[in-house]
Amino acid sequence: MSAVPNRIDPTTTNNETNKHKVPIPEQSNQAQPVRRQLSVDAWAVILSLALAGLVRFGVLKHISW
Amino acid sequence: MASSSVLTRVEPLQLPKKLFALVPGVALLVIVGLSGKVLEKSIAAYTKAHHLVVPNIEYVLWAILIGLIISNTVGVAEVFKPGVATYEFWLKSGIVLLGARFLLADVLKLGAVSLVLVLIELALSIAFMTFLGRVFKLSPKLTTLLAVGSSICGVSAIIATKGAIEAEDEDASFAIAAILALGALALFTFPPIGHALHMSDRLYGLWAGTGVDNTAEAVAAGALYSDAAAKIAVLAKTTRNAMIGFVVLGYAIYWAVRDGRQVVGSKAAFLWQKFPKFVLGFLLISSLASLHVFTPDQTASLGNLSKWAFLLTFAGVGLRISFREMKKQGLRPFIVGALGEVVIAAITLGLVLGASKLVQI
Repeated sequence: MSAVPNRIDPTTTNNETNKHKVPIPEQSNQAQPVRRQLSVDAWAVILSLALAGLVRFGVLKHISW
Repeated sequence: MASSSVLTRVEPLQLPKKLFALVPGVALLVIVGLSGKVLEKSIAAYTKAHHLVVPNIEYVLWAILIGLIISNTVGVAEVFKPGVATYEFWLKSGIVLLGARFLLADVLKLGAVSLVLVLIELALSIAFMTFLGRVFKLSPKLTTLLAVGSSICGVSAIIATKGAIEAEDEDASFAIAAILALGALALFTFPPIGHALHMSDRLYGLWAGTGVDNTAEAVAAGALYSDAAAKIAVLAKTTRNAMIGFVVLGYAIYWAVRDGRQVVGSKAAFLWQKFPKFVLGFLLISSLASLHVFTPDQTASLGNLSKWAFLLTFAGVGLRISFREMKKQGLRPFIVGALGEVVIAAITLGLVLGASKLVQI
């Protein structure tokens, strides 16, 4: 047992004891690929601008309701 | 940071697979939405042919009712759920496209009126919901979530606040269920009240946009009145949504201080992170329309595309209302939410009617 039982070990996520050493993702040696996903808002804006472009340049004509 | 040192690798099949998973649910939205439209036209044609005087029930209500019947009888099967959840995407796309129907000057004028009303509504509704939460002895974090949900923009605000104040999942579920149930009730109560008070489209739209919590329900409540009311409801609700960052930031700081945690780092970054970016798309399309980039015919086409997107949204609103799930959440948060909503609806109605006396709306 450590002399200072409640000392925080930076490589663990559990700061009560050092028994369960779980590497913090950002500190892992093997960097994980991070997938950057567009938000729903971004997709909505992209779709709307694309549709506005298609309407503006005559690809989509007379959309009826 | 890992994200800056490693290039993004996306497996080639992932996106098509994801899109494929959405197909059944989106198809269900289309079928429900179109059924609503067909029902409206068929009933109108039948009553006209038989000289019957029956009030016209709009496709919006039919689409919601059909969705509601499906979700509460046979239920929505798992295979449809990812696609049905895209209703939020269609809602935001519809709002951005609707920007073409607004001149920027209108947006600024009505937006400024909406902003003043929204600021008063925010202060009053947060104070009242906090008071009700204390009276009914709800947990402080559940009270916060209900206050945010009823004052700003329903489910999105609750989810954003949940993360910022580290609330329990259970509290968030309670608050979301209450807000959704009350949003559904607003669909059936706001239009008759508006008609009873002989409200103009603009006044009613402003009331629906400031009084109904969730964006989809606010747009639907507006569309149930008239197309013009829906337009104004969208604008008022969008103004309200834009406030989300400030309120969530305020609560995040309050709870961080109360829990003895570190206060939020960069406040500007936090505000930007919480800001609903589709509002920028709406303003961009509105600016293009103001610069006469679109001909009148093209503007009408964009407005109709927006209506098609809203049709899928309204179908989604009905399909996600589950009375069984609401029952599970218990009565107390619902009573608090209901009491709060009635008072907030009355306050916003008073504000809108008062504002109409002061400025021309």
